[in-house]
Amino acid sequence: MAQVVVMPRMGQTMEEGTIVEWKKNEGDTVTQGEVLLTIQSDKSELEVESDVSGVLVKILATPDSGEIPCLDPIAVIGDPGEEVDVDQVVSDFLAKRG
Amino acid sequence: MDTITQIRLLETMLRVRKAELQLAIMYKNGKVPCAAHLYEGQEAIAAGICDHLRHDDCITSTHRGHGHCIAKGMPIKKMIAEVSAKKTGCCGGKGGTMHLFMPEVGVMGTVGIVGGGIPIATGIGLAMKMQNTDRVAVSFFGDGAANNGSFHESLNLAALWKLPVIYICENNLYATSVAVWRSTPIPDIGIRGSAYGMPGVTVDGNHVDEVYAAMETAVARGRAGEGPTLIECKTYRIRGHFEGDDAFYRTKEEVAEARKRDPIDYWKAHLIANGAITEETFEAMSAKADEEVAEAAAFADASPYPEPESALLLSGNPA
Repeated sequence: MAQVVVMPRMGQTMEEGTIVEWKKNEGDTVTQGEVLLTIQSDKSELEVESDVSGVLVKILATPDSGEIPCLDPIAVIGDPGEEVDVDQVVSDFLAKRG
Repeated sequence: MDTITQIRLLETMLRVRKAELQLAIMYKNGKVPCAAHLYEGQEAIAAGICDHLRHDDCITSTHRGHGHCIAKGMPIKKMIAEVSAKKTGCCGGKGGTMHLFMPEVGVMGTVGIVGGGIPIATGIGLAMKMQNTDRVAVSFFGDGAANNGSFHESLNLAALWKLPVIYICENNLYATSVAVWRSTPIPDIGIRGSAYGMPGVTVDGNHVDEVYAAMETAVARGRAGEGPTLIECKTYRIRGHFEGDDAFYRTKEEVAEARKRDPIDYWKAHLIANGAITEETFEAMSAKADEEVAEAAAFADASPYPEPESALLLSGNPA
């Protein structure tokens, strides 16, 4: 099932982060624990690993997006071969998050 | 060591590992409202030590204490719920990762203050001795704590009074960002036992059989009223000091090298080689642990936060 990747909260004082570089492209296969991207937090530059294995279906935010609030969606990962309605997945995620 | 024990140790290590990796994911996704210091790579120590403990024995632990709690018998769901600040956690969601208590299974606290659990375990050992029991107390702490005054005072008193306390120094080579060689002039902290007149041993903390064997001797000594033991378990802290630590003070190559000495890989290979398990059994054990941890995470997720009006109650769960 498709899952949303969020801007992680990597510290108690971190409210937003910026994307430094995506290490994966849309369409790439990713495995759990593999580095997806690097971000700049309020304190340091950090690698963000994938929580799940699958295919990086959609990148929603880039280094040009500026500061992104923690826990906001930045990408969607789906199962191999899965037809993913990205807008639906993101809106479901946001509705559930409240 | 019999086959059942061998398999139980592997099971404990897997349960601890999976719970920690789950917490890493929950932390990133904003579900852990306090710092998280994870235990990945050190599981053989919690498993090998706590396997010798009875329900009525006690442990004190550290800021990196989830593994100790699980190995001592705290249900994973009570731990994850507590770390998520939920009412269903072992302290009603008010303690969090650095104040995990569950006296009914002998978890007498993960203590956030470095070296803070050592005198507490020593006092528990004194109580056990004064009550003429054969119970033992265990204190887990790190290489940094071994340079604290509380370490010296506690080990001195415990040896003097022959207390049933086992001191477990998990030397993971880093005290926050300080490499052990920058703070400690001796190669083995285990030899410090001799300064207090107690046995002090150093074992490979990534080899659960070595940890288990050292603890077997120490527990027998403690239960027989012969006094305390210091066991140094050499290991490596695979993750940063906390989640979000960029670990600027060490190289990625060093971490990659340490990952090759994974305690679960070691024990799995050992058990497959001696015929205790097969690759299929291992996969089944791994899946079972995944399932338990997923259920625990769902339990925590579905649980409420403690009510504001319970703020002044001890646990948030009035009887």
